[in-house]
Amino acid sequence: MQEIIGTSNKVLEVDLSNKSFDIITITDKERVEYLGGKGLGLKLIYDRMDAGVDPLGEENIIAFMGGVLMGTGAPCSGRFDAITKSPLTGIMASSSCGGPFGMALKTSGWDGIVVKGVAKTPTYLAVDSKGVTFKNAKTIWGKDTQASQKVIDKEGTGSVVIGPAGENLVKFANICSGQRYLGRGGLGAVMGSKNLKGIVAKGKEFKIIPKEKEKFDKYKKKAIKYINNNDLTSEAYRKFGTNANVNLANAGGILPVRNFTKGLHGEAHKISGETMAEVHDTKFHTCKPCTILCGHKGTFGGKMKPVPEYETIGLFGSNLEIFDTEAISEWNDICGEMGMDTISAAGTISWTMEATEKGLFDSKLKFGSTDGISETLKNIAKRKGMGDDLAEGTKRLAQKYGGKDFAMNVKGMELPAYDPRGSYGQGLSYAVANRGACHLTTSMFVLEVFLGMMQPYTKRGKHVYVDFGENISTAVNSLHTCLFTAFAYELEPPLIKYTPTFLLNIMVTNMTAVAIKFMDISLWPELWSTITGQKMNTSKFLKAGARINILERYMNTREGISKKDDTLPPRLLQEGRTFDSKKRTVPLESMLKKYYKRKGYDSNGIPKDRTLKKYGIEKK
Amino acid sequence: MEKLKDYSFLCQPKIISGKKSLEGIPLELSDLNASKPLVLAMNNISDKHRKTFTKAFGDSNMSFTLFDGIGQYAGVTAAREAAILFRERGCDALIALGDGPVMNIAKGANILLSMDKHLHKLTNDVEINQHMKPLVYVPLGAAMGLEATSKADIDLNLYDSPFLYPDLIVIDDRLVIDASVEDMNYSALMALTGSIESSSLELSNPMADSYAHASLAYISENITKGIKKKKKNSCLALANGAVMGSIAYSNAPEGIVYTTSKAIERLLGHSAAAVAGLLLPHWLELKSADKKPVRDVLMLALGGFDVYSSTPKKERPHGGVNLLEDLIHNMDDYVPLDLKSLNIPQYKLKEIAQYATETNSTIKKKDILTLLERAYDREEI
Repeated sequence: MQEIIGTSNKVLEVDLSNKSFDIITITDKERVEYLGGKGLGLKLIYDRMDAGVDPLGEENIIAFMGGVLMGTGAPCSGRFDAITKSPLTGIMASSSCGGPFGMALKTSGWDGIVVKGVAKTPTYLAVDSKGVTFKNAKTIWGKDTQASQKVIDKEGTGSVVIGPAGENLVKFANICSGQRYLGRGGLGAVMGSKNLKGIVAKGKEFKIIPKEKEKFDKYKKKAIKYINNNDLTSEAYRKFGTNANVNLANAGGILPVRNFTKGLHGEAHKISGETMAEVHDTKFHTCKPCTILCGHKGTFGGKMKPVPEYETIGLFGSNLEIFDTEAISEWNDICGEMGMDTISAAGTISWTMEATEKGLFDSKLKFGSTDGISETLKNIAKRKGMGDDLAEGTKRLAQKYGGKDFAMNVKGMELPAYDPRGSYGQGLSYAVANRGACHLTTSMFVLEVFLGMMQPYTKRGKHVYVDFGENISTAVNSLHTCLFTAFAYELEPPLIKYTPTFLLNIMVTNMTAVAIKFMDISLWPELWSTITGQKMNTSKFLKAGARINILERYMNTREGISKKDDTLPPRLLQEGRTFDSKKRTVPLESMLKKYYKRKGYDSNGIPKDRTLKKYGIEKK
Repeated sequence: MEKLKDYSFLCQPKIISGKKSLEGIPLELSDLNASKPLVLAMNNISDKHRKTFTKAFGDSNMSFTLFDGIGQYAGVTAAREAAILFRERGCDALIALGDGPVMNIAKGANILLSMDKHLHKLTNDVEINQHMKPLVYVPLGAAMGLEATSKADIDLNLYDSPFLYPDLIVIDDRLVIDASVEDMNYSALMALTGSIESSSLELSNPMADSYAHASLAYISENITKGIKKKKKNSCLALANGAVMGSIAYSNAPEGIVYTTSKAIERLLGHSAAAVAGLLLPHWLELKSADKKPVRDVLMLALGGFDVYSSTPKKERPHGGVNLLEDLIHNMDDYVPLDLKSLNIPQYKLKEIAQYATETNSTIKKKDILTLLERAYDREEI
């Protein structure tokens, strides 16, 4: 088998309109500045795509990018990214996935694949080390994601496909790889608009060898040790999956209930990871390779199926006031097979329930009732009946029917399952995240609620951590490794681990800049550096994260994004929750002002020229 | 331009404007058989406004309940909360201390209180056909065009009924002078839009015209002194102009500039007033090019009698458009150069036009597209 030392630095550039492909060579400068994965994908799109293109038009580009760590055996490194302009939000979107396509693509000799144009007829791409073959997808067009993969996976070791939702341009259609998804932002609709049913990569043609193998092995060992020592990564998530969050969120008052009108529920324990492990006899079902092992499968209706993740459980469960895990599993399956993001699908269903209750929309969906949800999800994917309206997501529904105050989205993307009225920093993070309401850009609820390191109901220092978190998560998504490694890599180094909790909490809240310096995040850049053989330290790593984040913001501002869009649904800014002893709403305005200043944006949220210059971003 | 042979004109509200006019509210409420008003205000209402308003009730022995939970968005939930508070506290009148969302919520609460005793549904198809609780509008200088009208925009639904007019409008110089420069500009732009669109109909309504022209004159004469020099009388005149423009607009069908600007605001979040300021001159120029003459009274209203009388008759319509452009030019910081400068992608224009025609079926999609395309890129005109 041939070997790739570190990265191949080759990316396929495919034009579907004229069935041709080319090879892009990644320079050392691009690698250092944009790392890989999301960062590099974004830069490649920025260099090739004008502002203002229709996300569902021929000119939009979608990039699939493997990470630098992919294939090296680094812990939790089986992840890849897709980056494009989202039809749901009209701005840049990226999504990360632990399916087999990333490994297949990288071991076919490619660091990524960039696709533009529109195929004349339904097409799928077969990739190997020689390049791309354009194949007729007529026989699988209309088939669900699992059936489609069964067909095209015969030609390789990993694929990405869309389901009927992507074909029908559902604004929150996703892309499937194995039983994992590039979930958010409607990336599946972009593939659908290009008549692109899937991409399969042959894989196993190359072995990936880190440039400095010995050093790499040392850091890998340290990383595994940290993961195995950390309570969240080795205990909670390993035993109960991401649904370990249910009880934590409920206790902290941030669980979404009844379309974000309450933050806790007496029956929440029924959908918790602890209960699911017992009732559904769960086992590991993870991305590969993985050390944390948060993905689980279990027995539902007598069959072994993937356990719905926390966001799915929270939004199809407590947020609809439904605590029937069998029903939620069924909806999880429908979304998976049809190829739809469960967060946006469930968010849209909860808007529909409330709008129906308020007489703004005509449907039979009701909070607390499972009736009609399966049928509605299938109708959304097929754009049948009211499903055609719902396929547009909550922002457009509210524009058409009213109900904007309870249309729980930011920039058009539906809210994940954490209520920011119990975590003000999360409110800021949702409002400013580049792809819209995103819980992964900066997971402030972890600091404020799960770990209790910061006061959740204050504004103090939140802008600093949101900025820091954005830079870290963007860099990690560009390596690319699992964001959950952050729990272990940030909290397990001795300096943090052995500092008394009370002292740590005081420092985090009152001495933000010192606390950040105190944090040892060197493991990520060390892993990156030993694989590529290029120098990278913590400061350069964070700067790369900031650069990618600001480039994405700048690209979004070219699409019309500004301060007016960095906001939250009116419900979170104006309405209190029933259980709070005093009315609590997110005090966004003042946090936003400080955040802009820290980021180097003007008062309207636009990156200043000098900020772009600082990061070497050429204005277009 | 023909005048309507038969026309109707409705101006329900009594208007009190000037110094210390706030102090007249208790007496006026008594005349409306009310004594326990619910006062609605924004959640960021200033202490000064709060104190000035409270002081005005000082000697009257009349008390009020304050609901200051209104944010930037006028949604059903806030209207319900206000209606519930109204009932709980046994109130008998509504006072909107503020513009835009405050007045919309006040109208929404009034619909709920008067039409649906159980507060179940507030939907667009509610037929509003009965007298409501007394409603008072107290502007803070940030009017968005619908406050003094028979219309309400609640949760993106437009309600229209003569019963939605406020009963009383109280314009007090102590309150309107504190409006921000941005709010004053936007308020003036919405009044210009309402006035110009209502007085540009094929068949003109002379009563509506007189309100529209008075509004234009007030704004044209006072905008600089009001906004840049913050003169009390000018700020008061601008608020008066906004109310008069609003009343003229209430007696006319919704025009293309208003509809399109609102569509852009709803879809993309840009201020409708700023967009209206951009679209207005383009629309008038398109009208001229289409041989639908711009009325020469626009020049009279904006330029005054001296300018009007010294301009040859043929040149007056075009001169009016030029004066409007000059006026808007003075608000350049708040009016975009073109739609492109707002980073609105060109592929969105069709979506905007479609949405606008869905909200106002009297306007043709192709006319909206023509207007949007003309306003898209200044360099291409």
